[in-house]
Amino acid sequence: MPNQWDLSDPDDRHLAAGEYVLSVLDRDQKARFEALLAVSHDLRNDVEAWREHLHLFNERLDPKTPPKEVWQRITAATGALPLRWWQRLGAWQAMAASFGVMAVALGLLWQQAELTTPPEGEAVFVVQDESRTPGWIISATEGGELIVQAVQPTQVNSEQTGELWLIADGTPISLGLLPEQGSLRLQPSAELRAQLFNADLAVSVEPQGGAPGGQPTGPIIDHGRLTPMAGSNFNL
Amino acid sequence: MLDATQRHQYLIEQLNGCAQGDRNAFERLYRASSAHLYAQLLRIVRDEGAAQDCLQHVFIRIWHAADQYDATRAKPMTWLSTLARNIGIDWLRRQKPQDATTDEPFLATLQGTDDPEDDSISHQQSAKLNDCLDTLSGNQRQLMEMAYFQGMTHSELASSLSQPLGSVKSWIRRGLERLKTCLTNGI
Repeated sequence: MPNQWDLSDPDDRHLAAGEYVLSVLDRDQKARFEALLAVSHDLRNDVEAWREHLHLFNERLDPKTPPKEVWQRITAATGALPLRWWQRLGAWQAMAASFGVMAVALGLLWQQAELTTPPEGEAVFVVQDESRTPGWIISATEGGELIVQAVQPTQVNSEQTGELWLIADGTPISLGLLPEQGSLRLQPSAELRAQLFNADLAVSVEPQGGAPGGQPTGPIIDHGRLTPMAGSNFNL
Repeated sequence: MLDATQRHQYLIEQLNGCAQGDRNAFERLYRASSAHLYAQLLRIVRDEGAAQDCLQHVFIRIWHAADQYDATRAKPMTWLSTLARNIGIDWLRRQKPQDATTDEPFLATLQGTDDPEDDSISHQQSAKLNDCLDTLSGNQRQLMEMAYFQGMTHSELASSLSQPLGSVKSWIRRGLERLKTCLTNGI
């Protein structure tokens, strides 16, 4: 049984998607898989098919009615003013880590079964929505320039846009707006560049033109950190 | 009682309602799905208080993320369960540092028949689907359930079961292949 996957083989790729959904891939494998997922439509279909298949495990469980208080807590929480998510980022770190280092190797692009080699010295943050659909791939050059590439931003339209924030000491600082399609370069100030690789990044939904008061107003799409790209060869 | 297709349709309508900010739809969605999601969270976190916290968190996320649901890409219950599973497993992972003694239950799960959920074939699933889980060997299925409900990776499974990593990987791959074959071909 080989330990390395040939992801140009549809059967192997499909099985790797099963392992991903089952969540048995380790951190590095998962990160690499998600890099492919960000750019491969076929792979996303495979993942969705496996989510349906493995949902069988849930269907074997007997439903159990939760206590009434749970619903009361939910209505209280959803009726209240939106929480200031950036102040809660600390608590969410562990979650982000387990969701996988969404972090991956830029350039490990899945293109008709062709894998390209990533350039050296970059770090990446793949912005995903709740359904794990990748919205943007954000990569940083060594010098701190950001290259933002739209993949499938699901929450933006003619009225709303994605805005990228750097969270420094609990305060969000805008790094710029994200494109609805295509790619864009962002040039953070020297001060922000110095923090870029060690700070939390977050993306929120904002009105076109960006958050009016310089602070995020809309719901958060995703948050995470830039993660340096691991080496080169893509093996799962 | 709604059949499976009507149930899907009903859930899709409520999710669409939530996306529009309809709080009645949100409540209907809760009534229709919370018992399933709660059972799933209980299976994952194995603690009622924690499962309730997670369930609350799941529904808050659903309320904010319902507009991201795409009925052409996922069945509604699968989408909801995926959210619940991610939240449950995240909770488990955050507990891990304090809870280093979880190995024995894992082993018991692998060997055991003492898992109460195993005997409970609940709501009207098509016989074919349940048969597919039955095509897995006992060990294969237990191993896959540990991964699915406890979020354990290949290496974590191998070390918690004291089995070689390669064997664990092979068992799981064969399990996935078998499940796939059954679901695709009905064998």
